[in-house]
Amino acid sequence: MHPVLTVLDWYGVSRPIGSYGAMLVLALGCGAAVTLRATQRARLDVGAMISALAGAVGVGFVTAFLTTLLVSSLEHDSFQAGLAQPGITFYGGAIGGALGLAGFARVFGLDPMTALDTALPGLPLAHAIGRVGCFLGGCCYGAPSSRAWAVIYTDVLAPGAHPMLPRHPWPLYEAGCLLLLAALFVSGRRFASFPGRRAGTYVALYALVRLLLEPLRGDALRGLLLHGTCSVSQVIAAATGAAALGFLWHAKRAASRSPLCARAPQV
Amino acid sequence: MALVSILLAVVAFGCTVIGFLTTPIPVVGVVFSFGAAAIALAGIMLGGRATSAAKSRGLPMDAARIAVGLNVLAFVPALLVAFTCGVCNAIVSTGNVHVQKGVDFGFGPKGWPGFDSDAGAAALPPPERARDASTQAAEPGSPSRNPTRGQSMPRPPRSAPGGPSAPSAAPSLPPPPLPPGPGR
Repeated sequence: MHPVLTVLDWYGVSRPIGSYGAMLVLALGCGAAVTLRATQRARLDVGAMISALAGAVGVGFVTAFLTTLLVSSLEHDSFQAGLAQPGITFYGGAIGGALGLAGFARVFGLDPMTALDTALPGLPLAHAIGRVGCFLGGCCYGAPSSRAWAVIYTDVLAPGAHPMLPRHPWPLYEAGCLLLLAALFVSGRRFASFPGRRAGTYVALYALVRLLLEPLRGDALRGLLLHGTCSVSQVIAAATGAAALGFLWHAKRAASRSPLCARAPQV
Repeated sequence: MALVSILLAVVAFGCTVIGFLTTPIPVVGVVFSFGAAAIALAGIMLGGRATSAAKSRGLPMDAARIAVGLNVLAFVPALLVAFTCGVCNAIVSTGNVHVQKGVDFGFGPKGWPGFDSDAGAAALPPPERARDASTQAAEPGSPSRNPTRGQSMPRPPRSAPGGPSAPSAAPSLPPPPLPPGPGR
């Protein structure tokens, strides 16, 4: 819709600043601010959480890029073809970022599960802002639609503008769902009966959202499997959702067996 | 630790500026653009550790907070440059760079897009404007053969010492297209 936010001119050197990049910066800032506020409320070590978050962001970007590279390479049976279509995938970044956050939290003296719990609702908020960036950039567009709220990407730089058809505003659908999820996790007491329950519940709920919304997407670049009947993101969503449900079931049983198990700090 | 973090913030600022300016140069632009963000993240990590250490020891946290703040401030433009100039450099670098024959940066196997010393515009046929300009410039002198591409390249005419120099025949290419949102 508006892929180029502005053109930066500096001593005669001009560079376009993309809306996606700007929204990504805003998303990271808002997500980090909300997470650090939750860390303060939980009376955890804010400095350690700052370090863990920075490490998680770095690991998340790397894994997001590598996931896209892997999917594109497998899709085209060529590593060079994968490099020719680089990008970042949310699921790759989320999985890598979560593992990075847990790992760095452990290194810096925080409980990994508590750190992951504390990352809510910052994560869905940041993700929602990032999806608005997708909408502005014209990527992650929806399938052709004749609904009244369908949008037409008109900027030639937007991938969704080729061809210019009325499409589902898919990034906005997901941004709305993510904001609902963020609202669900605003209260630190909700889903906090044992460490990791908040994170596990969020992963399962997001997987459900992604499974339901994915058929409305229209970009084939994200990787399609089984002759286009399902996407790579749906497969990952199903796997992570099942893993989250398994973790919740296992952790709940473990918590019920040990009555002395400490209650998770309320974030 | 806080002082090192502040130093990293300054380095990240410098790398951001260099990455911004060197976008058209293959490899150099992408290294500085993404390197700036990575350095800023390392600075944030060190600043966080410094905050944590100062708090646990009961020391003043001013330097550590300044370090975190500076690195966050460095990270914002670094990420913007990385996601515009850096990605642009890595993917669709159309920089009109003429490097010496045989120069190899040694990044990865041959044929990687964006990592060749002559990646981008040189791999494409010259645009019409460039062809016209080269024809005009080639008139005074004889054309020289480019062994790498097998295309006729203009040789700039030699001007007499003190005499007027020949007009530049460098083609002006449009700015590289912006990758419109790499998210998925």
